[in-house]
Amino acid sequence: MDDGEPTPVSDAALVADVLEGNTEAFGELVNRYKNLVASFVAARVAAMEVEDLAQDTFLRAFRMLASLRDPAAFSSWLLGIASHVCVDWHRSRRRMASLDDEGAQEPGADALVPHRSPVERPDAEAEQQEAARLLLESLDRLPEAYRVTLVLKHMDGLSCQEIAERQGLALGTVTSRLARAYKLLRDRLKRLD
Amino acid sequence: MNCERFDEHAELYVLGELAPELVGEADAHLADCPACCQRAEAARRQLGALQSALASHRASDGFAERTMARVRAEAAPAEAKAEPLRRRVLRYAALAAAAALLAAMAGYGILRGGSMAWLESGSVAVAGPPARQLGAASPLAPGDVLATPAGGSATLALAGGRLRVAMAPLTVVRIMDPRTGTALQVVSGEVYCRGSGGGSAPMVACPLANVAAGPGVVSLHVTPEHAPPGGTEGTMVTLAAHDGAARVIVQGQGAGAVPLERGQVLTLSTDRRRRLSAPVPIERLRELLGAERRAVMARHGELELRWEALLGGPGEGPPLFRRAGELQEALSQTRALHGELERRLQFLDRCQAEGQRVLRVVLRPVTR
Repeated sequence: MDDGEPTPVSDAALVADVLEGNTEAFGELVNRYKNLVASFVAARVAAMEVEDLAQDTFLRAFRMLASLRDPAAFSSWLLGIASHVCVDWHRSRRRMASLDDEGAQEPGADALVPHRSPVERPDAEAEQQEAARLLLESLDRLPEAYRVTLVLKHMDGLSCQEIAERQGLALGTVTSRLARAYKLLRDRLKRLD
Repeated sequence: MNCERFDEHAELYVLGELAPELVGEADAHLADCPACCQRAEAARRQLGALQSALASHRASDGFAERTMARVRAEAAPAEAKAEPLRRRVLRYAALAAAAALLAAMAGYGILRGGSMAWLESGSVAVAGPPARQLGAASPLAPGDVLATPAGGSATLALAGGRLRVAMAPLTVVRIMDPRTGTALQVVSGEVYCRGSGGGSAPMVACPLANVAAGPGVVSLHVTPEHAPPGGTEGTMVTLAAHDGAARVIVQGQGAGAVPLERGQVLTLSTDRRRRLSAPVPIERLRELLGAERRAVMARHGELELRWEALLGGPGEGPPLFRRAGELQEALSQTRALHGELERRLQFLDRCQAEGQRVLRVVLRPVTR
């Protein structure tokens, strides 16, 4: 056995491990995709909900893991679950809002919804924030596979080789996904200018 | 490499992820092309901006640990089923009872179907069919009947599964969950219980006792013994009869038969009316409470904003909360409600983590 770099374990292998009863293997999946899920959820709900809903996403994934048909596609499947969790949250919010007549009538009630609009301040910081918001919004609209690759690259600092090993993909697939993702981002940001 | 091709690969080049065979071509092209040098610089800036934007959305410190704590709590019941398999082999090896004990037995037994069980003390024989001594080579099987000698008692530990209690006259099976303090006396029927008691935390289940019922129905007399300081009586009862109906008697009220399935819970309201809820799956209850807690947090945040607005200028607050006293009261209500919901959720966590792990069953003939 090679003493050098530890052998990278693919997502599919970890999923199989969890399904065989090794709950702790799920911890590695949480570590791998916590930033992906957190950033995805953050784009959809109020900041104070992100932690709870991101946790809910993983918990739901753990419960439903046996229904995952393609273990190599764990990350995309996980984002699908995160999407449902966020939709459920918005539904329950709407239900609560309809019950809360007082809140619905008062001007402060919109403090309950996530703030997506830019801050109206003509300073450099506000411009920077607005640029970041546009960037994240554009990222959010990328196809899931591209978004996963970008997040693993830029939030988790993985090399393309590491991403390929984790996701059970060819290196060329990862680099071409990255190149395509950057192009889509550029095109979208140009349209917004 | 030409400009168009470099444009396609500029980000990968900047990141050092360009295929080695293309790096030389890109370097050579850049040496002669100021426009592509600018393109590379722009790519570097954009990637930096992307990195910064994403950094603000990283998962918080300790996120994975907190998430795994919930995952482990979720997984605990399943793992608990696996452990007794090993322990069972060791414990049953020491079992001395034999089929002959059947003649002298007190006349009660446990029919099991799918639960894991091991002997803690005393002696138990398997009445079969076929009658045999429990051991590694003859573990419990669905349909087995266990028996203890007359006048003797035995303690079995069960983890999950289904417990069916068949009683002879003048005997009682007492079921206790030592971790959560739940106690049931079962006279007949079948029951799966999970619950919590002891301590003075406001949201704990009451110990359950005084069970009496006809076939297929278990009546539970709910006696809140641990009223929290401040006096709210009756907290939350979690009880699940496996594939059966539970007859629940709330103190001071009439009794009602409630069909319950495993994993469902009943809740007893904390107000004076002490209403018993319809059965609800424990997971559903958790989701509802979680949504309620989040809504309360949002509401609290909104009230805090109003408080700040009120401090900033007396005319700007919404009319209803113009007076600071009212606003402060509303804030303290949302704070209290949030604390209450937190306690309920923690209680459900505890139920999920511990409720299905082990039930200790004491088989003891009694004289009435």
